[in-house]
Amino acid sequence: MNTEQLIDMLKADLEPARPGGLAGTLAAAMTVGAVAAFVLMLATVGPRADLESAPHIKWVALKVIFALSVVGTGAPLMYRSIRPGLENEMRWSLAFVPFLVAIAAAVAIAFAEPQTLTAMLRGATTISWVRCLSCIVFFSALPLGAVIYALRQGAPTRLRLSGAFAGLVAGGIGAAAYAFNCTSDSIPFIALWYGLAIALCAVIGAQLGPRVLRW
Amino acid sequence: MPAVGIDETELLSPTRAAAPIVRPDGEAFASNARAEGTSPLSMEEEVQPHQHDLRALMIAGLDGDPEAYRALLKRLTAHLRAYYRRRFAQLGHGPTEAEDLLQEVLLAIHTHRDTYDRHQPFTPWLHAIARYKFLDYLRRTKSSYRHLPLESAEEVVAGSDIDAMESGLDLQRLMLKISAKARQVIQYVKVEGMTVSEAAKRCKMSESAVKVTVHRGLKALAMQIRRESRA
Repeated sequence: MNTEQLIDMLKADLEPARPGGLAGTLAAAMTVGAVAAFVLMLATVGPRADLESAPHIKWVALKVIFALSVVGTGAPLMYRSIRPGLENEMRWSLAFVPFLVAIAAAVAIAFAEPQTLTAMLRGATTISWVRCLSCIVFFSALPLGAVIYALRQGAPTRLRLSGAFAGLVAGGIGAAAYAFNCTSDSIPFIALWYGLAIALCAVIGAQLGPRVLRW
Repeated sequence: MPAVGIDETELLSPTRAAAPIVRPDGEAFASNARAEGTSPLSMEEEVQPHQHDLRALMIAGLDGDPEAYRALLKRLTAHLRAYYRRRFAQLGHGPTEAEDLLQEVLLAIHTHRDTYDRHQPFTPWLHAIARYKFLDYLRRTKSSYRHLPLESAEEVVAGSDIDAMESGLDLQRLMLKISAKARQVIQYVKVEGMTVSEAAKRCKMSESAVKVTVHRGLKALAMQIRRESRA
C-alpha cells in the first residue's frame, strides 16, 4: 500500500475529537488509583486507632494536605508532558515547591526546638521511617499503574520525564492514604520521610517510563 | 503493546554518551529546543505561512472536515518525507526506510490527534511527534545516532517532497493481521468509498460502532507497522 492509500484510509476514520478527553482520562485514573490506595490501606495496616481525637485528626489533615499538594502540582505538569510541543516549555521545577515548603518548615522547627529534632525525625517508633517508606511505595503501586495506563492514551515524547511525574503523582496519592495510619506527628518527619518516599516513587516512575510509555 | 526494555548501559556507553543528542526519550533535546527558541529564526518568514495553513487545516480536521484533513495529511506527508529523507541520508539509510517511518508517523499523528491543543502553534506538536518517532525508530533498529546534528522545530516543515516512494511495508499483508471485522469495514470505507452510514448499513452495525471499529483497526495496524519495522 502506498502512502496515498493510507491517507485515504485515515480520512475515513475522522471523528470530531472530544476536547478535554485526555484530561478526563487522567483525572479518572487518579481517582481510581486514590480509591484503590485507600482501600488497600484499610485492608492492610488500617487507620490509626486514635483517629477520633481532634489533635490527631489535625495531623492526619496536615499530612494529607502535603501529599495532595504534591499531587496538585504534579498532575498539571504530567498532563502537559503527554502533549507534544508543550513538553519542553513546562516549568517542571514547580514540582519541587511542596517539598521545599515542607523542608523550610522543618528547618524552622529545627532551629526553634533543636533538642527534640532527633526524636521528631525518628518518629513514633524506631521503625516508623521504614514503615513510612515501604507503605507509601506499596500504596502508590496501584495509582501508578492507573496513571501510566492513562498516560499511554496521550503522546509522551519524553518518556523518562512523564514517568517521573507519574511516579510523583502516584507517590502523593500513596502518601495521602498512608497518612491515615501514620502516628509520627511532626513536621520534620513529614518533610524527611514523606518527601523521600514520594521522591522514591518518582524515581521508580522515571525508570519505568521508557519501558512502559513507548508508543 | 509489548513493553520493550531499553538497555540503559548501551545508551550510556562512552561513544554514545559523548553526543548530547543520543537520549531517545528526548531528555537531551530540552536544552537545545529552549536555546533555539530564543534565537532569532532566519527561516521564520518562510515558515510562518506553513504554520498558519497547517494549523487551520488541523483544526478543521479535528472538527470533522474530511477534505481539510486529507489536505493536511498530504501536506504533512510531503514535509515529513523531506524531513525523514534528509535525516536518514545523514545516517546513510535509504528512502525506503524513510517512507516506512513516514507511514508509521501518519498513523501516529492520526491516532494521537486529540493530544494537539488547538490554542497552541501546530509545528512544535508535529515536530515533537516526528522527532520522537525518529528516535524511537533508531532505538529499535539499534542504529547509531552519533552524527545527528541539532535541529529546530521548524525543520520539520522546512522541506517538501511529493516524490512518493513505495514503502517497504506491505500494508495489505499487515492488514490481514488485524481483526476481520475491522478489515472489512476499512475496506468498505476506503476501497469502495462508502460513507460511514453506508458502511454501517452494509455491516449491520451502528454508525458509532463502525467508527469505533475503524479506529481500533487503525490502532492495531499502527502496532503491526511498528512491530514490522523493528524486525
